[in-house]
Amino acid sequence: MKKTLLILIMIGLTVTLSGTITTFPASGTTDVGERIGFQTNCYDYYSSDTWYWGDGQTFTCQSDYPAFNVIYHTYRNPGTYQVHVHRSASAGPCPTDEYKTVYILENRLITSSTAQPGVGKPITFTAVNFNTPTNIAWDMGDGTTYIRRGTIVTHTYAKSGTFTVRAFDWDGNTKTTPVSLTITVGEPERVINFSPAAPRVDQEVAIQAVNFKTNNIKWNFGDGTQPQFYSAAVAHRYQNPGTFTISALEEGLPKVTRLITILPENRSLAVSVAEIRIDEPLTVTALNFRGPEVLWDFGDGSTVASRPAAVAAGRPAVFSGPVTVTHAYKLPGNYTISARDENGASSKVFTAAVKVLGISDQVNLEIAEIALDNGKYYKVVPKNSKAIRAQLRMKMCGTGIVSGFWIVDGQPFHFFNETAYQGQVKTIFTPEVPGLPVFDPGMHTITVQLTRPENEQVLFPTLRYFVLPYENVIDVLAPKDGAIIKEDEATVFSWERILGGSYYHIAFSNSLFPLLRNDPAVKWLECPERTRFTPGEGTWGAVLRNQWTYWKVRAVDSIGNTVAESGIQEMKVIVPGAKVGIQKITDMDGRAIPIGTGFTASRAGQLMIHGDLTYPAEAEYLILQVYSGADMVDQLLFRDIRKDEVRRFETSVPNRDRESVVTFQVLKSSSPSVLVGYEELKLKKD
Amino acid sequence: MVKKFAFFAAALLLARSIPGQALQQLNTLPRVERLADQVVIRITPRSGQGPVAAGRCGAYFINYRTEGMPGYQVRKMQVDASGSLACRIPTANLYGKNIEYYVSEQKGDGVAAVSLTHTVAGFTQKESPEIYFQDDNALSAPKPKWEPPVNVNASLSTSTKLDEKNDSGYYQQNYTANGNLRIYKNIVKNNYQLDFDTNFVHIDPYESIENRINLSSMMLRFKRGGLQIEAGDVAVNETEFTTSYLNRRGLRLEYVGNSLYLNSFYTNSQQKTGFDGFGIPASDAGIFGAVAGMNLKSTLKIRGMFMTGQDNLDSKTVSYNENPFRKGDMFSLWSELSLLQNRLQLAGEFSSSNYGAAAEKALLQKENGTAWKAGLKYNHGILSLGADYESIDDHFNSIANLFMQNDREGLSTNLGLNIKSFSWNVSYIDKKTCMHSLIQDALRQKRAGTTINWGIGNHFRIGADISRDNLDYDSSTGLQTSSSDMNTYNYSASLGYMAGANGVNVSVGKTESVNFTSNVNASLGLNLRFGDFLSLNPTLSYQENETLSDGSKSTIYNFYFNSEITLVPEYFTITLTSSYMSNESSLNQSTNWSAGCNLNFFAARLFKDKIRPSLSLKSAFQGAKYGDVKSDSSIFHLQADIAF
Repeated sequence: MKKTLLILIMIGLTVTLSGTITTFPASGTTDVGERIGFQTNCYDYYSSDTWYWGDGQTFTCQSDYPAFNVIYHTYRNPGTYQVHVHRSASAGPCPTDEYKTVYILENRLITSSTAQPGVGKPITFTAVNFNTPTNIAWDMGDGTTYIRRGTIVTHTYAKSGTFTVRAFDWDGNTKTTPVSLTITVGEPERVINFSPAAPRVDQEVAIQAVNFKTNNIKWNFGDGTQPQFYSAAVAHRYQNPGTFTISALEEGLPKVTRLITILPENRSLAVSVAEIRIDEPLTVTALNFRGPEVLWDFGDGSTVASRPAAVAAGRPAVFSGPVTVTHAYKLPGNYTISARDENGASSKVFTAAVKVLGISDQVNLEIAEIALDNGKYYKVVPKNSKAIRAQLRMKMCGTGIVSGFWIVDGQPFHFFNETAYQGQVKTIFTPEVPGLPVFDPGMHTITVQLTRPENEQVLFPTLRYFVLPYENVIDVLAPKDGAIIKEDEATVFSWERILGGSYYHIAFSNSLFPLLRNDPAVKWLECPERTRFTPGEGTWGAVLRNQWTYWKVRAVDSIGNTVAESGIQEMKVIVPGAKVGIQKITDMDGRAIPIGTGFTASRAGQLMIHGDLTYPAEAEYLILQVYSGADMVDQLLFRDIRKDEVRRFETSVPNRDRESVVTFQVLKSSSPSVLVGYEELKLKKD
Repeated sequence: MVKKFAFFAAALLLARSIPGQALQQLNTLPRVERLADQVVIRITPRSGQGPVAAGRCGAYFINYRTEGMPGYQVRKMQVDASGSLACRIPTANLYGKNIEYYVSEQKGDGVAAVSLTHTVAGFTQKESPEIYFQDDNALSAPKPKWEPPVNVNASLSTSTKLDEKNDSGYYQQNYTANGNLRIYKNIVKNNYQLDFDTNFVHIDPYESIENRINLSSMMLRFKRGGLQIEAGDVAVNETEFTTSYLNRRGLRLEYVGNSLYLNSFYTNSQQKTGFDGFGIPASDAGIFGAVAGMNLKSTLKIRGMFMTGQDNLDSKTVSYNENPFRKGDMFSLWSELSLLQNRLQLAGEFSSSNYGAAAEKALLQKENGTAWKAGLKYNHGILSLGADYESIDDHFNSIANLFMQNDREGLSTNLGLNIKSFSWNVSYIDKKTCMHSLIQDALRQKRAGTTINWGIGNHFRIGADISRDNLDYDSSTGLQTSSSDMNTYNYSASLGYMAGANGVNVSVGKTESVNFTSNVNASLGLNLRFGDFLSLNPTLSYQENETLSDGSKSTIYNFYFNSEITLVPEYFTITLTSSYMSNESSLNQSTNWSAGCNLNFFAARLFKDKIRPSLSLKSAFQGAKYGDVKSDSSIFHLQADIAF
C-alpha cells in the first residue's frame, strides 16, 4: 500500500517536469568498462524510448521505465559519446528526442617489464584494468599475436625496432579499440650465460657469450687460470669453491662480466670394508658423482682385459663403470682405488685405500727409532769429521722392500733400498762414502722419509748435529808415519792433546779398511796416559811382524763419543835376529882357508866367503850388504824369506890390509830399511 | 909372493876404477848365455894369448858388479867342456837388473890385461826394493802437558737472514742462534777415575717438541778398579731378550771382577730432550734392572738378570704404530761356555717375562711369556761357523728392547771362511713366525744366502750378496685365504775404494719378490780430496720399482753434491751444496732441486787457535715441481761462528 502510494506521488511529479537525461554519475564521466547510469525525468506511458548510446548500441524500453529506473550502459571504448533517447510517440510533455553527452575515459594500460628492452631479451607485458583479463588478444607488433591470453604475456623480440603492442579487451575482440604500448627494442645485450646454474667444484660449466659480435673472445674465468682466447662457447672446471667473476672481452667493446658461484666438492668414494681378504667382493660407491660413468682403477689392473696393452702404453689400467662397482682382489697387499668422474673427463682423482689381507711383499712398520751414532738426537762434531752417522732401526712385520731417503738440511741426501725379512730388526745407516755433510759450520738437521712401504706415512723425528768451525785432527808425534820398528825396541805411541778430548783410544789393524770405515769390529784400546800409549806385551805381541800395520788414535768425551781422530798411520814391526853364518873361506882357486877364532889368516889377496843367512820370521826381502872396512863390496838380495830358512850365499872380499874387518849387515826391507842382522869377520894378511 | 901381491893390487885397482886404462887391453869378446837364475860368460882367448888348455897362459877372472855397487865381485873363470873359459854367475840374489863386468887376465904376479867393460842388461824381471833409511828422530815421544782444572769448550753459531723469497708464503725465522757449552773434567789418578761431562745446547729455531735449551749430554762417572758408577747418558746392552740398544738417561752401577759381575741400572724408558730425564727416572717411564753373574776363569760365564719397567713410547727419536703403553717384568738367565782355547763357544739363554701393551694405560694387562735360545760358535783358522735355535712365544716381550720380535722359533746357521782379506759367508735360516696370531697366518721362513767380501790390497774392497727367501704360510691359521708362497730374491754387489781422504763406493742391487715387486737400485758415492784445495763429495742414487701385478713403475733419481774449495788455506773457503731428485710414477711426477753456495772466512789462525771465529755468507736456492705446480725459494744468510 505504501509502495503504491509512493509511485503515485512520483508519477504526479514526473508529469509536470520537461525531459532531461540524468547520468549516474552525474558528471557523465566514467571509465571504459564501468557502468554508467541514465535516467529521464519525463515519461509517456504510451510511447517507447529508444536509447542510442553513441557506440552503435541501442536500448529500447517503455517510456516510463527510465523515469522510474536507471538504465545502465557499459562502454567498451573510450571516447565522448552523445547519448540520444528517442520516443516513438510522444504526446505528453516529453520531447521526442533528448541528448546527453557522456565521457568515457580510458583507464586500461599495458606495462612492460623493462624500460630498455633489447633483442632477445624477454619482455613481460602486463595488461592492467582490462575487463576480460582472462581472455585478451595480444598483438605484439612484430607479427606475433597471442589470443585468449591473460593479462601477462612474455615476449622476446628477435630484432630491434619500434613496436606497438596492442591488447584487445573484451574477450579479445579485435573490433574494439585496443590498448596500445609502443616500445623500442634496442640492439641485443651482450651477456654471459652458463650452465648448470649451480655448479660444483670440478664440474664442467658450459659458458656462453651471448650476442657477442665476434667469435674471438678473451675469457677470464676468475679462478687464477690464465686468460685465453676462445670462441663464444667454452667449458671450464673450477677446482675450488667460491664465487668467481667470469669476464669476456671483445676487442673494442666493454668487458662483460658475470658472477658464478661454485659449490664445494661433495663427491667421495665409499668402500664397503677397509680390509678384505683375497677373492672377497668389495663394493665401492662413487658418492655424488655426476656420472653417468666413472673411470675406475682398482690398483691391481686385474679387471681390465686390455691391461697389457695399457701397461705397455704407459697408461694406468683403468675401466669405465657405473658409480657403484664390485671388485675382488687376487693378491694381497695395500691397494689404492681411484675414480674419475664423468668417465675420466673430470681430472680430479678420488681415492680410497683398501687392504687385502694375505702374504704380500708389503712390510708394516711397527716401531722405528732414528738416532745418531751416539744413540741420541744431537751430536757435536768438528768440521770435516767422519765420526758421524745416523741410523734408522726398524721393527717390521713381513718380508719386503724398505726404501726411502735421508734428508739433510731439508734436501734429499741419499736413497736406500733394503730387504726387510720377517722377524728381522733392520738397521739402515747413512753412507760412509760420502759421509754426512760436515763442511759448513753450524747446525744441521737430518731425518728420513720412507717411500716404501707406500702406506707407511710415518713422520720421523728430526735429528740435529752441530759442526764446529774448526777441524779437530789429532797430530801424531811418534812413531813417525811409515816407521819401521824392531820388535825388541820399546815403542811409545804419542800424540798431541786435542780440544775436547777426555780420553784417548788407539787401535791397530792389519788392513786399512777397518780403520777407514771405523768398523765396529775394530778393537779400541784405552790409553791411560791420555796422550801416550805404551803397548803391553799382549798388544805388542799381537801386532803382526814384518807386515804393515795400521793404527789410529781417537779422542772421546766422557760418554765415549768420538771428538777427534788422527790420520791413519803405518808402521812395520820387524823381527831382528837375522843370522849370518860363515861356512867356508877359500881362495880364488877353491882352496880352503881355516877360519880362525879371532882372525882368519891368509896370503890370498881375494877371498871367497861361503856363508848362509837365516831369519826367524817371514820377510819379503832381506838385503845382505858386505863391507870390507868401510867399502861395500857386495850387496845381495834375498826374496821371499821363510821363517828359519837357510839361504846360501858367496861373496868375494879383498884381503888387502894387514888386518881388516869384513862386516855383514842384513837389512830388512821393503822401504825404509832397518838393520836386522850383523856379523863380523876379521882377516889378517899373512 | 910379490907376484901375487901385484895381482891383487891390480884387482883392487880394477875393482875401484874404470879398468884397463893403464893395462893392455884383453882382446876378446865375451859370449853371454842367459840361463835360469844364472848368467854364463865365456871367452876364448886368441892363440897369441896362449892356448887355454895348455895352461901356459895366465888365469882369467870375471869382475862384475850390479848397479849402485862401488866395488866388483871377482870370480875365476874355469875351462869348460868346449875348451872355453867360462864363469857362471848366479843371479837369484843379485840386486838390480843389470850386470856390469869385464875380464882380466893375470899373468905371473900381476894383471896382464883387461877387457872392455860390458853389460848384461835385464838379467831378471823382478824388481828390487829401494834401500833407504828412516829418520830416527821421529821416534821420540813428548812429555805430558799441563791440564787445566776444568775444561770448557764453547761454540756459538748465529745467523741473520738477509733476504728471502719464496712462493709458499712461509718464511724462515729471521735469525738463528745455536750454541754449545761443554764443561768437563776427567781425573785419573792411581786406581780411580772421576769423570764429569756436560753439554748444554741452545737451539733456535726449534720444533715444538724440542726445548730451546737442552742438556744434550751428561755423564758423572766414578770408577775405581772394577767398580763403576754412572749417572747421565748410559748405555745398557745385555742380551737380545733383555736390553738392547738402550741408550737412555739414568743411573748405572757396574762391578766387573775376575769372578764376579754385577750390573744395576735405572734408566728412563724414553729418549728425553731438554733437561728432562736426568736424575731419578719417573716410575711410569723408567726401567730398573739388575744383573749378577760369575766367571769361572775364562771358561764359563753365567749371568742372571731381573728387570722391571714401564714406557709410553714418548721418545724424541721413536716412531711407532704399536700400542704405546707398555709395562713389563722379566727374569733372564744366560751363560756362555768357552772350550778348545776359546775356539768353541756354547751359549744359552732362558727368559721369562710378564708383559703387556695397550693403547690406554688403564687397559694394560700383562701376560706371561718365555723365550729361550741355544747356540754355538766355532772359530779356528780360516773357518768360522755358528748355529743357534731360538723359541720366543707370542706373549714374551722386553720393556727394554723396543725391537723385540716375538712369536717365532727356528734355526739360523752360518758358515764362514776368512782367508786373509777374503771372506765368504753362507747362511741358512729356517724359522716360523706369527705362530699364534689370530689374524696373520703362521709363516715359515726359509732363507739361504751367501756373502762375499774381498779386500784387494789396501784400498779396494769388493762385496757381493745373493739370497733367496721363501715365505710359506699355514692357511689353516689366521684369517688369510691365499695359499701361495712368496719368494724373494736379492742380489747386490759393491765396489769400494778408499785411500786416505779419498773414497769411492759403487753399489748395485736387485730385489725381486716374485709376483709382487721388482726393485733395482744403484748408487755411486765419492769422497774426493785434491790436496788442500778441493774436496768433492757427490753421490748419485737410482731406484726403479716395478709392481709386477700391473706393470706400473716408479723411478727415482737423486743427486747430492757437497764440495769445499779452499781459496786461501786456513782462511777462505767456498762450500757448494746441490741436490736434485726426480720421482716419476704413473700417478705423479715430482722434481726437487736445491743449490747453495757459502763463502766462509775462518779467523782461527789470527788468534793462534785460542779462539776460532768464522764468518759465512750463505745462499740457498730451492725449487720443486709437483705435477704442474711449481714453487721456488731463495734465502741469504750471514752467519757467524765462534768456538774455543
